[in-house]
Amino acid sequence: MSQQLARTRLAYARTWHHLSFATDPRPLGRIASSIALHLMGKHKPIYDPSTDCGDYVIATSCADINTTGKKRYQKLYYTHSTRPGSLKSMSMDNMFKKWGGGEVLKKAVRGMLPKNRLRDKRLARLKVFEGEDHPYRKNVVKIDGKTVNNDKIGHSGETLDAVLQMKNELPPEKVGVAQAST
Amino acid sequence: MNKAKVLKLAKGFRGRAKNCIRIARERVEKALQYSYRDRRNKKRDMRSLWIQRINAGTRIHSVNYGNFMHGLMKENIQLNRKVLSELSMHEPHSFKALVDISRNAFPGNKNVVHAPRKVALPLSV
Repeated sequence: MSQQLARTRLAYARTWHHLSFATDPRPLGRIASSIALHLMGKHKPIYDPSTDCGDYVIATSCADINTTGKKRYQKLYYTHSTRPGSLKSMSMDNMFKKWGGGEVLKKAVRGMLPKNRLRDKRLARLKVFEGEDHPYRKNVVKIDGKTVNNDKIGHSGETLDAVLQMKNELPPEKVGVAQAST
Repeated sequence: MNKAKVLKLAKGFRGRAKNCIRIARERVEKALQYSYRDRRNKKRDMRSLWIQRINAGTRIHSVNYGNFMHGLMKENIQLNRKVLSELSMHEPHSFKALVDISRNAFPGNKNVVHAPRKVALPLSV
């Protein structure tokens, strides 16, 4: 039974993950690393490097990004236009003021994705917002009030059963058995 | 190898390498060298892919790959990485059972000692 289900389109669909910097205490780099893993699809057991099996990530409240030490004022971001003498630098604080926390996060994640032809496509799946509001509320799937992530679709007992129950395919007795065993 | 054989092997190559024997011969030689090397590399690449898949599957259940394999070795479960990766992809309930066995055998390194945090010395020192 689980064999057929794990080979469905549902297991390969791209899901939307949501994280809010207002509630997440981790600093910029650690969150960016986790985001990059989700954009690559390496959190899924069906990961394949030849296919782009990554997910979408919505990052809200990017104005509240936390950094340790004095990075906010000391870390410099450089740009160069290949014309000699055009090296410009901007501190992280100025980046926040000019472009917003979203750009800072995107730069961090961009450096953590593999440098190949899929890098920009994967980065485009990271949606950043300065406040808490975002237009993708309907994309983040919730079952019974709990957010369903693709880490678990097809790959973990309780969510699999919840999805099946939603589709009215699994008889209620089996749902109880799976939940009792986990 | 005569020309016909070389050009047969050069099917699908880019530009003149598939048509002109002088260029095709070089490219075919290179292709054969790559295929010799990659028959050996494929075994390494596949094992690496299986390990990445197992890692993803176990991290869903809050266990990392290293601790998982250590627990399996302790229980003398001799399933290889190929089979474990197939289980993690297509048999989620069975894989969860394996993760539970491994977690019982090796619950993880609880006595992790972190290096002491370096404190900045005051300037007067």
